[in-house]
Amino acid sequence: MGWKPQSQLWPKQTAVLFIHGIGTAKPGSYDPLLKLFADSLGPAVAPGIAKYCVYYDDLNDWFQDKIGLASQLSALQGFVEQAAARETDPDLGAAIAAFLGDVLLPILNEAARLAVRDRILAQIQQIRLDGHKSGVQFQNQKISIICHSMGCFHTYEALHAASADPALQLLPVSDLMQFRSVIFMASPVQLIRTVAQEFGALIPKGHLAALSDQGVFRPSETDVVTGNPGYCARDWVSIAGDLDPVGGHFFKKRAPWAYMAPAGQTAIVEDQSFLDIKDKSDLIGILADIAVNGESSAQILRNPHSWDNYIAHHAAEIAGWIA
Amino acid sequence: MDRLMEKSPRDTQAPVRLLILWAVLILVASAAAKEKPLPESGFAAALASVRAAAAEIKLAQLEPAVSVKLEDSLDFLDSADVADGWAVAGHDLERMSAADKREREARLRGSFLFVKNVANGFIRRHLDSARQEILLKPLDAFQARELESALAARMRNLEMLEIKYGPNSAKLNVVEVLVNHFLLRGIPAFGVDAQGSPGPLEMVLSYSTSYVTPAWSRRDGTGILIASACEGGVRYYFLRPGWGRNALLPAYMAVGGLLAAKEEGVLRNPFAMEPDFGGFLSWGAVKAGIIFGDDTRVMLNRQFQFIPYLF
Repeated sequence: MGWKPQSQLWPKQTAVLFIHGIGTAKPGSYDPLLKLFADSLGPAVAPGIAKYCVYYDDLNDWFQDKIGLASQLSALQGFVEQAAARETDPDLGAAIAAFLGDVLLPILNEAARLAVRDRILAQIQQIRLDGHKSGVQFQNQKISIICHSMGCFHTYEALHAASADPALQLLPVSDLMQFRSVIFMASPVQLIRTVAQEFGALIPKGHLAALSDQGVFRPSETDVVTGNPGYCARDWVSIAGDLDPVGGHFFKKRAPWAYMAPAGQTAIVEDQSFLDIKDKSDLIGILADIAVNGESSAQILRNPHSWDNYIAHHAAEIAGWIA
Repeated sequence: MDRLMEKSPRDTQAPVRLLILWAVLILVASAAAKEKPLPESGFAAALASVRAAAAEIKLAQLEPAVSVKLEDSLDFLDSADVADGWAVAGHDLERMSAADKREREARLRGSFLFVKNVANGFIRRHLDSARQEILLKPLDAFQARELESALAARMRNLEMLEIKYGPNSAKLNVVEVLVNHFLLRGIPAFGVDAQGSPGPLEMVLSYSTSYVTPAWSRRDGTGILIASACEGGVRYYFLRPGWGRNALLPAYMAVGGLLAAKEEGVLRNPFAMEPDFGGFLSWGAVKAGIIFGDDTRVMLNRQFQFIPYLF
């Protein structure tokens, strides 16, 4: 077993776990993002936070190598292309489907998404133990998650497992595992739910919380004395750009079938006019170029899906949510 | 008067004696009433800490019904001999069947879950942070050990997933993906069970381009023969710690039947003419097959895909 959860002593009572999205990330790939996060929060706050990042692209590689789901993935992308085209126009729909790329991949294989989910759960367990080892009893630990893109889907699945399975020792009330905050940035959970529902038998539905009959919701554990729900996170926050299709916005138009909106969510829709994207054709060009060239795209600084921008633009609010 | 005088000192000593007697009684009473020292760690200590915290917040007055149920749960858990990792021990369990033990363990876990919910929910809300840290420290310590066990279980499951799906597992072709990941995925032995653990089995339905018959196995001594064959069988993954790392402890073994092309050479069609029949056995990626017939021969091969996802 090559992977081990990241472990460190905590400087104070706060820890933040970063869970990345689509890409080809390796351990260390998000170090610049962690530095940006620290710089954005400033020297008064950042040094007191234990920062963790869980990487999982190697797991995606296992399943791509073993199973190869390209044809099924293109079928899912075809559906998104048509649905997005209905919201905007055919060209933008095609660009959005291509841009989404591997976001839809985890729904095609149950074991693949369980492997990522288990890795996240193991990392959360390690974080709690690190805090305990650092002298911070469980009730005083302030743990938050900041996730992006496909990482939001995996986080959503992990939170539901944590709140439902006592064996994980991560129940919100009984195990005191209420996250201080979970901040979803450009979450595709609702989009994935819609696509999974559309494809019926093609999608393995076992252990898939995003497909629950209750819709997309914040998981909780009932307090047996009061009967009230103890939610998995004190603050459940969603930040989505109004030009970011992964977060359910198709050129400033919100698509309810693609936008995650559970009851009790703090929702922020970011005005992305700072990207100077003039019209749909401009956005199509940017999305298409990034879909092909990835991080080396000449348009990367105008990426409406940029994790860096989400963090940098909301640093002050994040500081409050994780404190 | 003298008598009176004689009596007088006795009278003055009586209150002193009473005082001493009272002090002794106080000491004895306080010693008797003194709480049994709480164990500092372990399961019993965790339970005792919950009892103490419940008493401190006067749970019996605040929530009488919850208090009764909590006491019942604590008594039941106290009566069980719970070791680390919930390996329930005790002489009374030796006579129990495996099913009864599982049921008892589930009941114990359920009771402890109730205790944790009340203690970490309602009771903590009625204690300030400092009292929580002191009173419920043994519960906190026990939960840390539980969490360590849970982390170890996650790591084991990740290792199992790596054995079955990781870089040292067998690559599947389109037909095998269809069968294993779409048709058979609902069967836990082939897919994933309710706990999220992978099943050990995988169907083998493949076309192998180049089985080699080594010269030493040929009765007529002619050189190496190459044969193409269709394989059908079952692959078994060794979902145990330490497996899947080298050729001696590979990720899997497989066994099944072979249909080999009569015509020698790579990429031959076994169905072009009546095929030869046989069987194969693999230990990891190394495969050995045998073809029966007029010219019974042993064949060797290595698990690989000539064209990814095809054969």
